[in-house]
Amino acid sequence: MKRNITLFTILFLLILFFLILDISLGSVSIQMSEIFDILLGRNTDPGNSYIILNFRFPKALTALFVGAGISVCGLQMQTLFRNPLADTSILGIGSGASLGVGLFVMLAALFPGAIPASISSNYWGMIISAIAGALLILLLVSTIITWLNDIVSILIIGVMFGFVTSSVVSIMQYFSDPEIVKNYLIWSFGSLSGTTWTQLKYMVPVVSVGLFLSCLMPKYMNALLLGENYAKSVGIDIFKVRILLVLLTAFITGTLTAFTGPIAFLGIAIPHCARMLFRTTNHRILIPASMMCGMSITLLCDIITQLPGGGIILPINAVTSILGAPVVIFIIIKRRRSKTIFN
Amino acid sequence: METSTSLPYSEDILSTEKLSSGYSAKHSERVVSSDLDLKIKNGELVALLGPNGCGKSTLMRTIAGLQPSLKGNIIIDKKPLKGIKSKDRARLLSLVLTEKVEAINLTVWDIISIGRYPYVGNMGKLSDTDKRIVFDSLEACSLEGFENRQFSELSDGEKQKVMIARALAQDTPLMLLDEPTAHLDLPNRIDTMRMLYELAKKTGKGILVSTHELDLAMQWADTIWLMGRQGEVYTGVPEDLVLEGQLSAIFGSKHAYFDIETGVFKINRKPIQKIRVIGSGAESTWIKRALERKGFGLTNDKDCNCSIEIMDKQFHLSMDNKLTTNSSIAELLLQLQTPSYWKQIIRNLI
Repeated sequence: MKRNITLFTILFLLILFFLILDISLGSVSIQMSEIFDILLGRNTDPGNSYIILNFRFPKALTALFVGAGISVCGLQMQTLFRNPLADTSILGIGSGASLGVGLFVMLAALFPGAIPASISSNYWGMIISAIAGALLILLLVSTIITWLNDIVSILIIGVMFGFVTSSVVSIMQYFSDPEIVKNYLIWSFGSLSGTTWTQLKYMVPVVSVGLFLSCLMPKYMNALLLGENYAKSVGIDIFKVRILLVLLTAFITGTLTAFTGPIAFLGIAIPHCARMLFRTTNHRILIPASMMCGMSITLLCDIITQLPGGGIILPINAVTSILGAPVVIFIIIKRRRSKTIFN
Repeated sequence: METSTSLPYSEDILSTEKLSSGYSAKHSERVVSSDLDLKIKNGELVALLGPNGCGKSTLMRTIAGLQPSLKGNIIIDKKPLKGIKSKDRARLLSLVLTEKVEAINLTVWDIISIGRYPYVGNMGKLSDTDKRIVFDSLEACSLEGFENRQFSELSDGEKQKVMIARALAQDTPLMLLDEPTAHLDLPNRIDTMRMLYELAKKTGKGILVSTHELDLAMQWADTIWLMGRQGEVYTGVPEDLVLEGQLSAIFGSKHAYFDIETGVFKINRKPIQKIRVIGSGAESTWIKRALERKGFGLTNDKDCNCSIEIMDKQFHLSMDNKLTTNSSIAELLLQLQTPSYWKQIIRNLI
């Protein structure tokens, strides 16, 4: 118990530290004292103030929400499917959300009368189509998983869903305006810096609701750990819990994806970090722990993207993949090895 | 977990009325067992026995509410299970299942706490009463000092105890255990059955155990539910079921029969040679067992041309008027396993 409190405190301080570091980094160097002045609303240079308040701070805020949201979704998938490799990006749920956004954007361009306005203004449309896309894939995957509970097949199916969605999107590109296609492609690379205050006004409240509801799930998720029958025997309505987890995941992933594009590998890696760090799978600890680990690691990833300096910013997905892919490999190897003959 | 105030066998914990279990698809129904009227009283340890595939698991699952009954009622602690909310059912019956729990990184305390979930809020936070009950369950299963151990690091016997403690923490009048001794070694099997017996008496719970361990069930169960191949169930005190012949009828086969005299299963085969054993005590018992294992028959006939006399821990074998003295059963068997013995054994196999 004492160890957990210490860990949470360290994580909290780490998040604060990364947050300030993230804001202080960028092509224009701004003094630390000036950053504090700007954040506290004191009179400073209007140019620097504009950079901090309208670019760096929204980006850092996005990183916080993406980190918490994606990690919690990854945790929910792993517990729901009782599978250490389940995750929104691996199961193709991110691709589903992308497909939703792609359909929305391109159909809006093809039939301007049907769906009013463009990408930049119709945020609700993007959010809803991303959630719908994520939900569609999630329901498909859930159905398939109940048929075959094999970790590797599920991975392959997730990858296949990814291919299918990207094919559908590329077919649509032939019939779309090049400008819109370009915008969509840039979006699909994933980015934390594309969000402005206008977009945060939508993203922050929606994702907050999702995160809050996720915090109410520990009992149900713990019971799922023991398996379906044990969960039923302690009075848990399995069907309801599954639907709730699926909806929550689609809700959070969809909304985040609508604004930042798909972000890979964080969702799978971070819950494992939290488990190893806190040495528990008790969700009362694990849900907040995953959120906080997610926040700090996403901020760290964002800091790494800016390391080259001189105005060069690495794509966020490159960084998250380099950090996350080894975790996946590690888990597969560990699981294969533990399947000994005499078990 | 409260110590029971009423004497054992004074109340009905479980009763089924015309219960039929089985599987129903859209157009067909497969009845596994039908019209069962079964009862479990408080403090009673019941063992459900039966050959593989007779429908034990189906019956257990039906009573546990993991699959719907085809017909009839199940009443636990005066409350009918039909249409009951899953949360209320969780306060009436708890389960220990055969499926392996692969909960890595959960402590023993975490797992037993899950037993309190029918009583706690969304966050799974335990009240002081809940914590006391979890601790009492831990103690009742002699798991003191294990609370912070990782579940995955325990031995199979300890894991089973944790799962029983979890069911105990659920504080239900009825407890169902599906083959709780299946993965355990002999001392742990006995320990588990003893623990269940004592728990039933101490807490006044009704405990239903499905098992394949006939001898354990005969030793520890108050009552046996014996399920036949057609899903019919005979209930009674273990010894009555033996005397009334149901046990031999259900478990007997072409190759083996239940010997009422000794209470063990014996193999059906034509004896190769009849042997008379003279003497008593442990030596006599184990010599007889060895002889039967090797396919010899026993007789009391004085004119038998083969006899073994036990004197001063020495086994005197007289066979075809030849006398040998042997100091171990191995030596004795070597004398008996003549070339003609082996020929007969092999002929019988073909």
